[in-house]
Amino acid sequence: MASGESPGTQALRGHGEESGGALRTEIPTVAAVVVTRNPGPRLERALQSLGSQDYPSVAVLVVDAASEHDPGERVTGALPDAFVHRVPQSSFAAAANEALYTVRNATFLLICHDDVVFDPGVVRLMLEEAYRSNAGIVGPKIVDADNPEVLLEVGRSIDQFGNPHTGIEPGELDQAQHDAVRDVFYVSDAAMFVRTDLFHELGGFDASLFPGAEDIDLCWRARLAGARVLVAPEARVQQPEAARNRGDGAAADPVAAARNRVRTLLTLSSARTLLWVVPAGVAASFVEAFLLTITLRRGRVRSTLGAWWWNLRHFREIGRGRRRARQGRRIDDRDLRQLRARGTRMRGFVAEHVASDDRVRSIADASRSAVSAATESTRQPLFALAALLALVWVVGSRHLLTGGVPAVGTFARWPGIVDTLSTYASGWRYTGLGSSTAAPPGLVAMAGLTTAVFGAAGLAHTLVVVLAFPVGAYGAYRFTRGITQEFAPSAVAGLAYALNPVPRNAIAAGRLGPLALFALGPFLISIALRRADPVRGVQQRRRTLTGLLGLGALLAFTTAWYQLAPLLLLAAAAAIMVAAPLVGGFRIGVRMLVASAIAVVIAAVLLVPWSLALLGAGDDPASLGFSFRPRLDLVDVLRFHSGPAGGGWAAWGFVAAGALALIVGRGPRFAWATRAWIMALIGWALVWLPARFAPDVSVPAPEAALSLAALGVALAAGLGVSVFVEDVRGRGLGARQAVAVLAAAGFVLGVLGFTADAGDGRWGAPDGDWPAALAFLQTERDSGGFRVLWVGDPSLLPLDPFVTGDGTGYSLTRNGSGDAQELWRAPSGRADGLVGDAVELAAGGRTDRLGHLVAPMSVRYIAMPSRAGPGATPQAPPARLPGALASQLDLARLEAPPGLALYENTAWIPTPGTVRSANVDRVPLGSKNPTGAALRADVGRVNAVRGSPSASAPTGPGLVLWSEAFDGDWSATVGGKALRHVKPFGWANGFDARARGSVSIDYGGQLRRYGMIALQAVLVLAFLVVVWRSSASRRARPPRVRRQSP
Amino acid sequence: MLLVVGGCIAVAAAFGVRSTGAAPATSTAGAVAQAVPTVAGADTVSATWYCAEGTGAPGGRADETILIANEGDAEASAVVTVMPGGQAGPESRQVTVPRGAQVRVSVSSVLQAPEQPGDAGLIVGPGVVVEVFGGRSVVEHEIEGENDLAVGPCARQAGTDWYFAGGTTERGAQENAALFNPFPDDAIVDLTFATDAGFIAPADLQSIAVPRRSRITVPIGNFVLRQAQVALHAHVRTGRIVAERSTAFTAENETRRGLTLSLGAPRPESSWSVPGVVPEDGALHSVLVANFDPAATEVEISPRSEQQPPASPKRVPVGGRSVAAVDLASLGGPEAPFAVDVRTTRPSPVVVEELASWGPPNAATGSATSLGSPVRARGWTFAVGRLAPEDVATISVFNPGPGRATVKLLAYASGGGAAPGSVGELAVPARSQAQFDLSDLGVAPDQVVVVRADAPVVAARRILGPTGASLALGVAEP
Repeated sequence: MASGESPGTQALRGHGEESGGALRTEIPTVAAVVVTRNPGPRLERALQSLGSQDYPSVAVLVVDAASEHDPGERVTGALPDAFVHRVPQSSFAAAANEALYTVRNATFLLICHDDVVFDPGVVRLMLEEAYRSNAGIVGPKIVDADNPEVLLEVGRSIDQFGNPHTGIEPGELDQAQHDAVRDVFYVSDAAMFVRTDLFHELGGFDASLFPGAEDIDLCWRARLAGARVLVAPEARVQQPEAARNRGDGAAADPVAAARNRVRTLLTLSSARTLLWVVPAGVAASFVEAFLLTITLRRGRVRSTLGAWWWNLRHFREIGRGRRRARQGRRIDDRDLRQLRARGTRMRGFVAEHVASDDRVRSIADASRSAVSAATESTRQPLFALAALLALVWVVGSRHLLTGGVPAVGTFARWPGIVDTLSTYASGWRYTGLGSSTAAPPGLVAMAGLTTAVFGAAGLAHTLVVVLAFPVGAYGAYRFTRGITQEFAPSAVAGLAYALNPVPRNAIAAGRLGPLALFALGPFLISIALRRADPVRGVQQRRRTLTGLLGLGALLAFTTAWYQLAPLLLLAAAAAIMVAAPLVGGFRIGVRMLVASAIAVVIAAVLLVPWSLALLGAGDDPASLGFSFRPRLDLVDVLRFHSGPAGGGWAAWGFVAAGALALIVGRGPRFAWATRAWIMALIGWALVWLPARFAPDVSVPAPEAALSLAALGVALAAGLGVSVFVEDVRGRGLGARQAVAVLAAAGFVLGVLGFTADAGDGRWGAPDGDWPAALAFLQTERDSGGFRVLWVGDPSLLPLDPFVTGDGTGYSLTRNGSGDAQELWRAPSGRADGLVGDAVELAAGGRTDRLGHLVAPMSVRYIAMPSRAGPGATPQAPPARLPGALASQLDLARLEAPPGLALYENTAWIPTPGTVRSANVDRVPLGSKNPTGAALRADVGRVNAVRGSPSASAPTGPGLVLWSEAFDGDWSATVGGKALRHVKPFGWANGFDARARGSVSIDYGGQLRRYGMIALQAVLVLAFLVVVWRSSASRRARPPRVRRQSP
Repeated sequence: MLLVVGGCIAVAAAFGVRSTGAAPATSTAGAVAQAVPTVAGADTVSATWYCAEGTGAPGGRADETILIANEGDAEASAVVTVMPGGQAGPESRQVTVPRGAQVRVSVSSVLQAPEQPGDAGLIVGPGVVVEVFGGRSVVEHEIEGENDLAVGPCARQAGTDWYFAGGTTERGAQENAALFNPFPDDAIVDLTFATDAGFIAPADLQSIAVPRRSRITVPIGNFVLRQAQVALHAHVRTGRIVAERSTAFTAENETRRGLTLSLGAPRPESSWSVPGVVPEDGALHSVLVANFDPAATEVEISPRSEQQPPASPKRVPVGGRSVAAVDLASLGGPEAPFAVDVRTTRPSPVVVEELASWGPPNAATGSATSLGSPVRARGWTFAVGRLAPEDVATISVFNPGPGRATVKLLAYASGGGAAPGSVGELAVPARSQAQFDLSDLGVAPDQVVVVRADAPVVAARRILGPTGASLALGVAEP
């Protein structure tokens, strides 16, 4: 046995070389570096297989990575010529890197695991291929040592997110189907044949990427350096399948492996690739985490989600790695694209991300473990119930999943990523009659989610809607877990929350904001409550700071979807304080309130400049969501019956289930049950009190406040389990047991209600939508730009309606039925108010010329729905509206599906449109009374300007009308010459075109908008830096102080 | 805590606490506006009036003149649009109506639009839309023919159903129904008739297309032959229309001469008031009660007069889908003006219309009809009080309420003015009628007349003169 006593100075000899002779072979030397740690029984076979290679110049170095027992004797016994070198590092990569210092005069390195058995010609074949193909790294075909007919690997690839992929199905037989030499993205370090000079140039493995990514990283860097990575399938090695993904005898750490793969991805991808990989990868991880959760593999959720989070927090180190990688980069990412697992959208996602190698095995494992899972489920009824309800949830969502979400209310169709981001970046908001206010960040969130599903906007939309159930459930689980520290109560609370009618009614009515609030609200309250812990010491203060920043970020995200989200947080804090006189905890309430207030400020800062625009919406509360006048009585409110769900007795079940903790609970359980019920009462009161005492005041959608009530009831129900265990079970038969039985029956009743609602497969949502029914509108654009004015009950209108004084709602869509680009409309401006005035005048019978009044707004169609969509439950429109519309002299009624009255405005003016020169004098300019001006104006025929407003077809001469709210930044040119800007009808834009030509209408405030986006980016970056510093400074945090368990 | 929660739930569950947020009940003003033409509110930016019946060429069977009155605070502009139907397009004329003034616009001065034969025996003629920009306007129209004239308010709104109780196709009576569709989409209308011979639904009068922005006239006598009483129901399947009816009694008619004009009722009601019945020599007054419901009903007809003790009501059975005619001469005393209250005693509502005619020995000759009023109001406006200085014109005010009402007759100065001046005042006892004689009070034909009362009343105008006779309700001010 040779002993590597002086690494870096000792040269290895080939075993064909005479020990003391001067004769040296001319063939290149191959140094086999076998890394071992606590080797198993296959070590000897592995060494012997190296010793029996038919290539004459193979030296073997066994690097022992701190085994508990010195393997020297076993090595000597198996291969006397082998060198043994013991190192203190326990990592495979670090141990393998010893070859950098130990090996001399070897042209190639064969780095391998200690359980890999080589066929006799492997070294020769790989060496020959390396020369033949001028390859830097060559890998063999790997088969299962226990069943050599089964393939394990013939080179590897990675998908867009760094997940390994072999292309080999589990159990796939080796029938020479992969036996062709080919370039691969990487080969695993189970047996890696690498040119020594390349290994030195690359600096060996990056030891920090072990486990999971050291081989990916090495091969990737080799690729970037211009070296080829090949697989030579004729060279065959055997490795036990069970020992895959280990190199040192230790069990693989999936968390570290996932983390390291992401780190490799972030380090070696080009900046351009990272632009989409990062958001897409984060989102895909969430999806995968969800899939793992519902397939009861919760243990892997942490690795899936944590990988990205960990790396984003360590971006400084990644930055250093990227700088190093950049220095050695000789080729572009695009040259590697064909070596990576590819596919399109969902097929790619399923085939390459979800179904990447280990996942395929996981799926196979899942089927194999079905029996054990079933067995476990009998031991854990809650899991079984959750699984059953998950199935019901899928069944109940089946039409949404397969057919998409109908465009009802704010469930407007999501446009593509580019359109969404363009809308966000636009300096002019094309909602209502237009506004220069900032676009909502919800568009960015929407684009991000769409990116996560590879541009499938409809799928993203559907997932956002459908996943509200499980996300909300998990939030409620977390919330309750933070209080009880117990699984069963938390699980029951999560289920009770998800099964509440609130999300079903939100889906039925198409209320995206309240649905998002339902999903994310429990997380917000949970985090805020955690921040209510008393703070002692520097570490806790830092942790609290980090938590507050996280709360602020989550609140900002939630607010981007629903502007009133902060109110929920404040209401929850208020509930704690209101409960204080009964059960104490005033300080908790105060601290939670303070935390909530701070989070609101943080969210407001993160959402600048949109949040500033919202501050100016005081005159238009409808733009904030105050646009509903629900006719709900107390019974309806208490059973969450704001829509088709919860109409029966079933919803009373959860209320009954929540009563147990209140009636029987003791000590902290009673205290928290009281707080939960106060929370529920506040939620109910926020809906019922306005409906009862101020029915003519517009309020938010009832599902928003009812989310708070649902969470309170769910918490109370969860606490009921804790009460049952602690205060009921084991006691003598009595009233407590009876109450417990009633509570359990109530829960079952709620479950039955949920199950019953699953029947229609869409949770009460209409089976169609108006955009589909009015698809012909899409083609009408050819006749000129136009708007559709939707009037009626605000709860039935698309998008975010305006509301007139008498409660009549109206919204405007452009060139069709509208899409999500028009969501989160800008606060009403003066021009928008004119539309409301016109609607009020018509509804009040004070004009029969509604068409003329809205003609300058380019309103071509007026639609009055009496249902949320085709097939939905009819609701009466505002009393006077149908008659008023029918009485208008300039509205022609068109055929429309039942539930929709559709009129065409015979006085419509297209936008942009050109008034002939002869009629220009008939256009009222700068009128102080726009309504009167529109009423009496007769501008004659207005010709639609064809083509894009920024480069139209030739038009004019005449007055070019541009039906956007007047703004000095609008300008128009013809042939590069600026046109005089006037204010037709007292609110619109007009440009005096003296000659015929192509008109270009531009908004001059675009640069300002870019500046605001930059400001927002700076604020977000500053926030991230603060978060990073805060989290970095609390790395060595003390154990968490847990709240007293009830 | 438990009590609070339990209490809420118990109250909610046991007593079903309901919100009061239901849609507000229809206001009185709304009910009035639904039943009869009303003066446009002060905050109205544009009030539209629809005048269905009339012809637009000299020498037509019912030459039409529009009368526009402005009760607003400022000068108003009005656009009179004549929609001739057929291939011809509408023509408009804008006129200015000074404050408190009355403007007359002859339809033929806007557009010469003679009636033309249409499809299936129908006639195409001009309909008139008057848009008044500004509030508090009143529009009436006057038609002239057969040596008679008729004046009455135009409609303030279109509808899907129109009912007429009066009408006849007996010898010498030319009954016409004017169906006016001022909207930009076509209307489909069914006409059915309740006659003293039973219910009639002529096949040719089902699914009549009333093209957009046009008016068709249905010569009812061509479809319903020789019926003494012909009540009409126009039901609009698609769209909305305005319907008026006129009857020309020619020399062939044995009992009547002249021309009548009625605006339809939008719906049957259970209570009607008919003011302004003046028994006199040569005058025939009758009330026509039409029941469009298949079920038979019964009405009580009560004369109301200040000068006579209350008479017991007369019960009149009205068969399902039929008309009953009641001669009012038997109800009131001689020479004593009275009003008539008509109430149903069974669930089926009815439509009530007055038919009057004058002939020798009376100085005037002519016929007139007027729909009863199902509503009451504190104000009534007439765009015109008298048509000519020599006319005998009265404004009858019926107080159907339980208390005394003080009623003032106001008139704007000739040519307009800021506010109307009081020209007369009467105290009208409960359930009684009183009347103002415009000749005695010196109200000129170009003055706008307003009735104001301190209690809800019903006011109607009667004009008798050498040019003919007319009866009409005022335009209500809810």
